[in-house]
Amino acid sequence: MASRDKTDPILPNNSATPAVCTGCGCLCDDVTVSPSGGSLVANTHGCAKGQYWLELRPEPKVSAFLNGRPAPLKKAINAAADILWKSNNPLVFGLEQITCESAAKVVAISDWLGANLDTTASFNQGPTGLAFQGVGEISCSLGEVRNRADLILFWGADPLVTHPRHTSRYSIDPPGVHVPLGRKNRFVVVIDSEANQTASQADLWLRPKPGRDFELIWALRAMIQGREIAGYDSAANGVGLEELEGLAHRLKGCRFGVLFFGDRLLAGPGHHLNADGAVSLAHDINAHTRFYARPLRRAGNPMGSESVTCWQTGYPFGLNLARGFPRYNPGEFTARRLIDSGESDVLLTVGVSPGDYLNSGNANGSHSFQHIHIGDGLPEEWQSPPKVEIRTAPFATAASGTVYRMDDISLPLRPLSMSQLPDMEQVLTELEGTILERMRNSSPPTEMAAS
Amino acid sequence: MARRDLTVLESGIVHDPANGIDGVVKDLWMENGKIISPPARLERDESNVRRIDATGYVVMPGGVDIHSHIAGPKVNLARRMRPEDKRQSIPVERRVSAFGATRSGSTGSVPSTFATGYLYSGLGYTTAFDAAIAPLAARHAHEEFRDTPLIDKGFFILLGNNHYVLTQIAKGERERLRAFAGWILQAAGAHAIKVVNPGGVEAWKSGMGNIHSLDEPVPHFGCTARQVVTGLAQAAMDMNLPHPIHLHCNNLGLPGNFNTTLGTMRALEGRRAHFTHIQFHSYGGEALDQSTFCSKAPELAEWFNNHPEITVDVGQVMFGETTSMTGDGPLGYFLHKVTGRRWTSADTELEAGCGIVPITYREKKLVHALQWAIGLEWYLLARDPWRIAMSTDHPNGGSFLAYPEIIALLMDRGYRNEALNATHPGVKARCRLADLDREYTLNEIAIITRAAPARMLGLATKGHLGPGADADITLYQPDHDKRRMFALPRMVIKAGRLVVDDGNILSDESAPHPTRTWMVRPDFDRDAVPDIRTWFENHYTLRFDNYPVERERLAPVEALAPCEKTAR
Repeated sequence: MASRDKTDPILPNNSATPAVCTGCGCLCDDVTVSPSGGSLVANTHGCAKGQYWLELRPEPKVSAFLNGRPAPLKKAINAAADILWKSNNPLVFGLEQITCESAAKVVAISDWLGANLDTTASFNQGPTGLAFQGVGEISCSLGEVRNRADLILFWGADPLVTHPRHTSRYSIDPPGVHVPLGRKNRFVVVIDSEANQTASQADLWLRPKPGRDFELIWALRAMIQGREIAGYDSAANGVGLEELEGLAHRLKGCRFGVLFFGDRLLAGPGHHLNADGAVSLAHDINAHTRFYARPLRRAGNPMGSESVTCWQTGYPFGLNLARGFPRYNPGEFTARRLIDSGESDVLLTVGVSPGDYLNSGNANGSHSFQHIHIGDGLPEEWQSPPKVEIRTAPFATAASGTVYRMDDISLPLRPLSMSQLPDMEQVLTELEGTILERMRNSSPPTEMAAS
Repeated sequence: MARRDLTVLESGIVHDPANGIDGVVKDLWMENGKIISPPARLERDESNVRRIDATGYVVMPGGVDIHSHIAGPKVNLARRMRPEDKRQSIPVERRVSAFGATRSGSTGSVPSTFATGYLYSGLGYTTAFDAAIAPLAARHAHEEFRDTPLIDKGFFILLGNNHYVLTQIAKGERERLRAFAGWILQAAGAHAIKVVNPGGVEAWKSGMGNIHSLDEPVPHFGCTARQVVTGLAQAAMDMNLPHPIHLHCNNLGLPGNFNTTLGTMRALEGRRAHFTHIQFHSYGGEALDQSTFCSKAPELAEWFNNHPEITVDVGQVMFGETTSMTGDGPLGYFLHKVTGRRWTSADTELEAGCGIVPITYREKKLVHALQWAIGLEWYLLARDPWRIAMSTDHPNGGSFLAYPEIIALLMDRGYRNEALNATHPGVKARCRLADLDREYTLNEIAIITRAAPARMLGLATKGHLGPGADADITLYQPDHDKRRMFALPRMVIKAGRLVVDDGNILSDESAPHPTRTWMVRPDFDRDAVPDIRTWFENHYTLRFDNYPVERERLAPVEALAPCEKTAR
């Protein structure tokens, strides 16, 4: 379509502009980028993943679409406001590639609408969230790891693939205050049943049989607590009791240890028990020494949007505001069920590629909801074109605001290039204003009429 | 002549202790969010003046909370950890009307941000300070403040276990310490220096337990808690900060800790300091024998009464379910072990620790009942109400929503004795509460809930109703039931605008005068910055330039408290 023609973004004049790379949860802020060949090149501290993330892509000339056809931005915002305002049970979903400032607007819009609000956390880090509510959490900033940790344990995680600079910047290699020799002062363990690149750098790699992580965690907890273990099945679990005892000994004997768990620990059967077990194990080890457990988080700003959602509503994800106040119930108010059951009549996706999460539930590709999308352009394979689509300036290179690293440390995100597309925060601010105006001035929709 | 935009609050019974006004019927004039002198008769053109009839109502400055936990990562982790606490509490509903819109929220011991603003405001409080923010979390705290409506805010930054601070103190580098403190207060946009368990949190993070006495060396650094306290107290005084160091002593909550507290008071040797949640630091007894647990509030209060350089807030424990949250990492682990409940811990590189544990205070449990009684002893034994502020260390001892209950306990001896009789029978023999028959007057309540905390914080425009003060005003319906009187103010005015009317939050905004965040900008030696930068870049995992909170983020909400010698 001619209307979807591309245009090039405007490059910075400045060479060696400091950047915060949101290409994975590490949020490296020691990267500098320069314009080169029509795009940006990371010239210090970039990794392949970051390079791809920070690459400038041609932008669409048109930012707003109604039913797949170009439309003025204001008209698209008005249409979105009308659809949302008239909706009976809207679902607001995403908040991954989004600043905290924009996320705050999305939560506000959800509040005014009485919507369901869910983030991508319910698809990957949901078990961790539930574990935190069950047993607490025991975490530290990544600088604590760099400066103190003499034992690093990656469980179901392969940071060399998923978080390429995690090991060199925070966990395995860097010298720190209490580990002056860096790698030489650390013992590194990988526990993963699958092929794992990080294992090549580890001192110990334990390979449990797939789906047997929980048995290992529980056996380790028993050993740390000094309990007798009966009925441990080495063959079925894939790791022998002596090997585990050796590890338990090391965990108790380290000065400062950290367990980083990855998506693979949270994907298997009994996944929320795995997260619960990882945190509980760290709790247990604290009877002997300092020990922490942290999830590795994904690209974008999922940590920040979860934080915003939590401080504005009290709950991190999976909530519903239809009764005029926040209620929390993962499984009931999370996106997967609301989509699969057809309960939501309107879907608003913001700062996410919905196909990464929501396509698979619809085998025939059809759906009963009206879709509104705000963010980067949708991939071709995403079902049918949304009722309203607003393409905003690319998050990775043109957004301005606050983002959170996987360890809850906030960083300022500054634009690296000028985009001709509208700023997401401004679009959301206008959308919020339009919805509020409708609510104040028009006859109330059903929900308000009932009260 | 341009028409003035005047408001007058007429004929209220005014309690403004800072200006020596104790229950006098008078009018209060406001303009541009400030209290003004009554204008000349000519200017009182009827059409210009908004009139609010306050006849029969008690009028006080808006409440000021000197020590509370309402923002930042620690508070947000507690929210995330405790959905059940909120599920069992009455939520705040969103409201949209032609006049304004207010957001929904969850409550419980750790309310969401909007709810926090509405609940404080609904209680007649117009200013609250968060007591424990790691400088690295300052941006997060400011973000939450942006979403906390209707109250002015500010926070204190944790410096008592900061590596640069410990290093300079160990080296005796007084000037460099002061320069660092000045730099980091500005970088964070903070109001004051907080010291939590000096040296003890660092010892815990190093896997070396805790610091239990003032002269024990901090592992790896060699300086002592005594040096940390005196060094930072001196730095705060050298910079003429409006609020002195805000001090959470070593050994919080442990039997026998009053020795440490008294030792810390002596160690200051006349330097100014604010001892926070003093109740938690006033215990006698043997560390390992709970049967010896008793009150030492009388001994500490005697020292306090004779040392005008010291101020305190109480940290009153109230019975019920709440959440303990502290920058004192080892204390969090201790509470987890004692209660067997969920435990969240989060340590910040080079700066601070944190512990969060749910806790239920029970009146029939000796230790809890005694903690409750010791808090009340402090209020009743402190002779000068200008040096003691009401606090529950929200939410540690209980929610700020318990303040009306505390006021009733202080103003009504009969009510207090009834409450005491309902607690564990062992309490009376272990403290002097039963012998104390003092009853607070309304004016004294006005002092400990607004005038005194504002003065301690160095907020010249808060806590009073004289010309130039911020027009933050609370109206109460006089009532023999003090809980009812103080729980439901008749009206709350923020920056000259009516924001709460008979319990209804009218709007999110106090526009045209939006709520502000208080901070200081002390002078410091800029030549010290290169050394700080070098240290920073060697040890932190972010760039030095990404550390300070961006000024443009603060500009619209910034309120500067001047750093100048204040007469006491």
